[in-house]
Amino acid sequence: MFGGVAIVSEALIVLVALLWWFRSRLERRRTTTISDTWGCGNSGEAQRGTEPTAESFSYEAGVVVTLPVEKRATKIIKKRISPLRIIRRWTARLALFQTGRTNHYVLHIIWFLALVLILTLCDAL
Amino acid sequence: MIVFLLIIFCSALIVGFINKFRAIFAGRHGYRFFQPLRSVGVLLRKSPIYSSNSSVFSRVAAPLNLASLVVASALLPLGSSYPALLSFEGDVVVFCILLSISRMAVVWAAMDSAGSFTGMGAARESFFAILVEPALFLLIATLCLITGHYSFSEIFASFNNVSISLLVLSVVVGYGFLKLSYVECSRVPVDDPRTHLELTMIHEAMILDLAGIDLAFIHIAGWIKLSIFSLLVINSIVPADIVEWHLLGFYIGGIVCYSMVVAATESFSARWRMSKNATNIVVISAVGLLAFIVALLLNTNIIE
Repeated sequence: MFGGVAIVSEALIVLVALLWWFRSRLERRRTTTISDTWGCGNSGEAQRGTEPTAESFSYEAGVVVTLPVEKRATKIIKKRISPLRIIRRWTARLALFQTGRTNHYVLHIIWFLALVLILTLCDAL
Repeated sequence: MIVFLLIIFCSALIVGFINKFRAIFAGRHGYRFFQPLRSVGVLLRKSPIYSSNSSVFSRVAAPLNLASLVVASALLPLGSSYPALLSFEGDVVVFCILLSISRMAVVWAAMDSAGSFTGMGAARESFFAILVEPALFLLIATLCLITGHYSFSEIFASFNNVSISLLVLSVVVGYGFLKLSYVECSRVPVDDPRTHLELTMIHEAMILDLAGIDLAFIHIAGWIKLSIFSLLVINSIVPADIVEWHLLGFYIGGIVCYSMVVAATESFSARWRMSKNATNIVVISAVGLLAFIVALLLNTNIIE
């Protein structure tokens, strides 16, 4: 395995060197321009205020992992408890699985398969 | 050797096919088939432009990006008849590392130019890479688990999906690689290579400040990446029983079908909202996990 990794590493280094040489040959008769980056109309300097920081890389991950806090006004209805009402309440609770989103359904399949796997490994099936 | 040459050769064709199919779906004539190659030719003749803040990293990045993808393509076989140019036990991990190196090189260039938008693109690309890499590893682990091998050449030589259970699994794995290619190759609905709006750019934002030969290298690397993922999709679906000329026929047909699917997705579906991208990319990892659990169940003989 390590022989294979060595060959791949060597191939990578040789190829980078070849491409570098190829580019040097192409650039030989051309003038290299050094200029400021395109700011799309933003005339501010790309210095301390706008330079990328580690936080800019972790920001999007932070947005995703933050649990959504949903504030819902719940209406408390005090009504007579009947068997039909109890069934309706439980079916309404089960309806939370019916989100209409593919990713949720894939997740349900994974949960089910994981459950089957665990039960089988425990000799419960 | 043949597969390596096929990947490099077909990389230029896939972009042409995608553009042609997209034009057909839109009812237009479209531009010439080899226009992307001509555009790269123009870029190779242009003088280089570098940011005043850039260092040697910007100059190394594009060759490193292209070289790592070329070497990665040398690790892929085509079925059982055409083994990879380089093959050894554990090359699946090296393949993933090479893909990461290629991405890291472009992120380097983006950060090094210190532009207004390149840093934003680098942050987005890195974030999506974090989300999508588990999917790549899970899909490859699924193939390793089913075949018991850790080299692409051996995996695809023994992955014979003629039974119903393996056929279903191969379709799931192929679908996973297809969805993965949308993220890895920056295609619609994740990213849009044709967009001119910086705020919606991901990959294109990173390479905004590259020009000339460097940009040409980045474009070629993108084509090779498309070719690599199309080969992974084809290898996952085509049974190992098919050999020699039939296999080559399946490969060419597969390339055309892959291009058609990508073009259809780009033509008929809207781009995902940037805020929803993360959730949708995690779904690809979920598909990978699904395939892995099914493979685990198959491996423990729970499902026949």
